[in-house]
Amino acid sequence: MKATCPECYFEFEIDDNVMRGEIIECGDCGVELEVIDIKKDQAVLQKAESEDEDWGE
Amino acid sequence: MEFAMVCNKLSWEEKSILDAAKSRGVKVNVILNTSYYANLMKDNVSTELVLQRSLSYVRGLFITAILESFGHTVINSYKTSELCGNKLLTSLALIKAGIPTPKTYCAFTDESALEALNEVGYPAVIKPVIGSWGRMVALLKDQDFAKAILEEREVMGDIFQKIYYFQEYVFKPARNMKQYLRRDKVSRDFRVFTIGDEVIAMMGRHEMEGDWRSTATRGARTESIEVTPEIRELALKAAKVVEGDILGIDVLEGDQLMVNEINHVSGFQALANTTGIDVGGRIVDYLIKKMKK
Repeated sequence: MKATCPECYFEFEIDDNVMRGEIIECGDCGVELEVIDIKKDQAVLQKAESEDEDWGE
Repeated sequence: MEFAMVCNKLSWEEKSILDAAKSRGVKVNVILNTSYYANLMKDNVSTELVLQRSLSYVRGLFITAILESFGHTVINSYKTSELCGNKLLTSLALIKAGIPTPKTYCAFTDESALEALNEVGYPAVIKPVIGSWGRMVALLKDQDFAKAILEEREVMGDIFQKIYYFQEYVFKPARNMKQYLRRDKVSRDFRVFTIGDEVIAMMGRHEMEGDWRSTATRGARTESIEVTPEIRELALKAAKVVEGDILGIDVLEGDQLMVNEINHVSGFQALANTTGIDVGGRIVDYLIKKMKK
């Protein structure tokens, strides 16, 4: 499946079984990206949420 | 069979739960809390059982409140999440139940915090009441350092940073002469994972080089350890106090075993990799049992 990094516009291929909510790393600029939508053979990405003060596990 | 899972994103843990569910023929309705919204008059979640895996404490707590108000069974419950997500409330619950825990104080101004610290003694540990992964946790070695940290917290603006929560620093016993000679303490604590009334796995976490914290997500070295009867009893007692279904319980080994913190949305990647136990699978098996009831 195709994807484009919204930060550096690098175009790359990701696993076809990718799901909404998965976090992937841009192969070029290294930024963490979240899959927010899947349209046909294209995954829509946005920069992943950064850690907030109340995050934890 | 189907359950819902609320999360910020699909991290390693959530993916392992999804894989385990798939292999057992169970459907999972993934609800991302980043895109979730609720009409408080109308339930829009179709499954009875919900697994709460939100990394964000506040989001998770409020979504759990909403879902419970519609009659869903949420694991962990609002009560458990509130008690475990707030360290002050965890301490109060543990102390009330007579479970050994480090000596803990709290104060609400920097002046009273310094007085409290004189009673706790140095070194002491300061922690935010809400938060995890060792974030903003500091080891106060002396009064000068404490003053600097408190001054910083006073100007940070966040109301929760001005709730000063302190604990004694628990010195762990040396295990052999080499360790004893190297320093007077050996920092190791335990992460004990409980599901229902079972301890399913446990690991030791070692202090990192150049960092006194032993948080696995920050790179602490971990080791698989067999669960002892004492730790099993202590962890299950603590789990009962907070009425938790699935918990990561932090146990310190000082002069006696002590429960330090209880995590209601516990990470388990390091635990699964260290112990070889299929934690995601055990979680799904527990949920299946709940759904059959």
